[in-house]
Amino acid sequence: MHSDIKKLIGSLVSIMSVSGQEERGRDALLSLVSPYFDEYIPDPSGTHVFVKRCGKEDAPKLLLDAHFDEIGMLVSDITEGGFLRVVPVGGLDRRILPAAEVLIYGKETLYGVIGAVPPHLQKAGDHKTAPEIGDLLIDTGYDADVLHTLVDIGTPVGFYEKTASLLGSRICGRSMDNKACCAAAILGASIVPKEEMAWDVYVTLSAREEAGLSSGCSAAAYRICPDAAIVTDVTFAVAPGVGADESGKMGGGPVLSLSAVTDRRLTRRLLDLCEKKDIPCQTCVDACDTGTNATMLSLVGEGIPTAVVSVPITSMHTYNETADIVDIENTAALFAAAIRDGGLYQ
Amino acid sequence: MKNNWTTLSLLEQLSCTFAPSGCEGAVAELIRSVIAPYCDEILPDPMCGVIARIRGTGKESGETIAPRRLMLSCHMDEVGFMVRSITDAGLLKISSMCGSDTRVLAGRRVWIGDELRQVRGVFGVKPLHLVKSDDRGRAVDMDDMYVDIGVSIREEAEKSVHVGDFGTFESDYVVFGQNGRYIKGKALDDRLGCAVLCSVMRQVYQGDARPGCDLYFAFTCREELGISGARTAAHKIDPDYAIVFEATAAGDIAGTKPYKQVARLGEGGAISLMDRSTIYDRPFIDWILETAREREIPCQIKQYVSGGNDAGHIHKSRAGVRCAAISAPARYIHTASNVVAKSDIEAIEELALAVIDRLCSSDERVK
Repeated sequence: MHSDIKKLIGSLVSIMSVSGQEERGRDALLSLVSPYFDEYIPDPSGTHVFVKRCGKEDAPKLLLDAHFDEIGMLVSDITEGGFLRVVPVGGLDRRILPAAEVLIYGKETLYGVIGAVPPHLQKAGDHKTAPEIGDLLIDTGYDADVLHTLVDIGTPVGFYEKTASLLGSRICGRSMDNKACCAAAILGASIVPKEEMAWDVYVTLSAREEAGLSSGCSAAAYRICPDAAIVTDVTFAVAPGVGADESGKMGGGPVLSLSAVTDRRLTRRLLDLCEKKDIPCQTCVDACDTGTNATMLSLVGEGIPTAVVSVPITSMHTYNETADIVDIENTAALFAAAIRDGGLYQ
Repeated sequence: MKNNWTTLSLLEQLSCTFAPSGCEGAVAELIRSVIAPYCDEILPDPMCGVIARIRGTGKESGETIAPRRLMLSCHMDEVGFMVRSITDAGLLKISSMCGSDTRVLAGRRVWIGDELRQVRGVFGVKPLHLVKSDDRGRAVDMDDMYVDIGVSIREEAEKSVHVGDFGTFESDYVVFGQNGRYIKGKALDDRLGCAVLCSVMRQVYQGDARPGCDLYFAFTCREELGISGARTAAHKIDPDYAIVFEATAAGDIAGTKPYKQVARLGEGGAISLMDRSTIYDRPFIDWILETAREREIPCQIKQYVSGGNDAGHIHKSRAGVRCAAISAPARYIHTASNVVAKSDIEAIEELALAVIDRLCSSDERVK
């Protein structure tokens, strides 16, 4: 099972999905995910909706939302000598960019290195400051005139790092935020036999979360009109500088958010399910804001009871976000239990 | 090691080998196996370097005696790290051996271990979201970084990693750019020098005639620490001339004034006049430049006084050694993403062969 989910995450990560560009990977995504579902509904917002029906008439609808987009950049300038300047998409961390490797999704996918100023050109104290994103140059190895034929202003740029294994069950790479949770949602929905499902399940791999908009998720949810929703996204894992009261423990299972904006009944029900099914889990307090799609989602239409279930990762928004496969599996197990559990509707 | 390697296929293999300063065993072993068929002997070196000799004819030419010994030097080590301690949570605290710029470490993958076995780790950082907004533009301090190898307690970590273990960047060898003209990888500084000298050695050894003088190929240790294995190698070899094959920091990026660019990718090997460790032998340099000009081999003058290399030790060895340095311009040196041009590597190899040819066989001596 470890290797299956690792493969699924690796495949999802390889599909470029910089916020606003989620539709570009549709074909690859469909061939990967469609076999597990009855129907695919493209949404004009860029959100990919996969439906698995339980076969009962007038069945309630459960929405499992995992944002599909990832942080990245857009080309803003093509300079002399074949370098690119970029603007950030989402919360790009300027502290990790010098010498980082990227893929440039132009007419062809090009490889590039974000330049680092050589020491002899640095002024005293420069090494203490993370360069401004607008000052960075991506080295493409092309002459400017050729580069102009391959790349346009607005071409998306993403990180290069593929998924790799650490010791134990940990994996690292780009875009664990949020492909790890996409994998958990897909896996959770796929492992429940239809006859055991209490709901029709709508998995929304939603667009434009990282841009702070949640617009992909709310638009799709408006069309689906679900009876309950679970948002799954990454959260901070305990690490140096990250205290236990603002995060979950890596390997401790899915983290359920206790927040004023989520539905406490639904959250409690999920916690009970974890206990009943022996699924390790943990909670964290996000008093006013979960930092996820949940806030917008809960306000769609007449309102949707929404819970947040997170996978803890370290080094969020770097190109080596690190997650534990066991947490992802246990998150999937919780989703599977929820899909079987009709009582969630009341 | 099969014998059908090319300079670039060898460079790929060298680049991917784990050999930070002080832990060069794996790359030394690889180089030894590559060059064994192409030299008369490999000399023992207590500093763990590899020193190989091709014996020359030693013939007299004209009124002067051909130089007895030419040393061709490159360094095998790469910038790296050392494990300083292991926390109760199984995380590694790390000392950097790459100088002061920690900005290229945060978020990066590394290998931790020794010559025989390594585990993968990630330089973790506190997520941006939890960093106070004033601090988001500040480079992450080394003390605030940690390496995660995938375990949660010290005892688990200690099964795979020990205090004092070494580290290097993990970085794929990538061919990229227009017509694949550039290479990106770790440790191209100075594995490209190693690859070039292996190839030069093979061509000289397989050539029709013996060189006029004894050639010593030195693959040295610990250059990146400034504690040079070249110093002891030079003492052992006692050369008349030495040429250091290196990588030098190129600043030829958009917006940088030409005179601050140091050297430009694609314009051939950069020949140093002066750096922070050496004032080079000007007649020897002029002679090399003349050789390049006559044989139409691209090369350039390094345009900025910066850096230093093994020549700093070699030129002061014993009673002094006439020294030159030929470097491949390399962007983003001392990061995981060194970028060099294939054509520069080819040009440097060609120039090395031309210099050996002329220095060893010509009547015309360096003034």
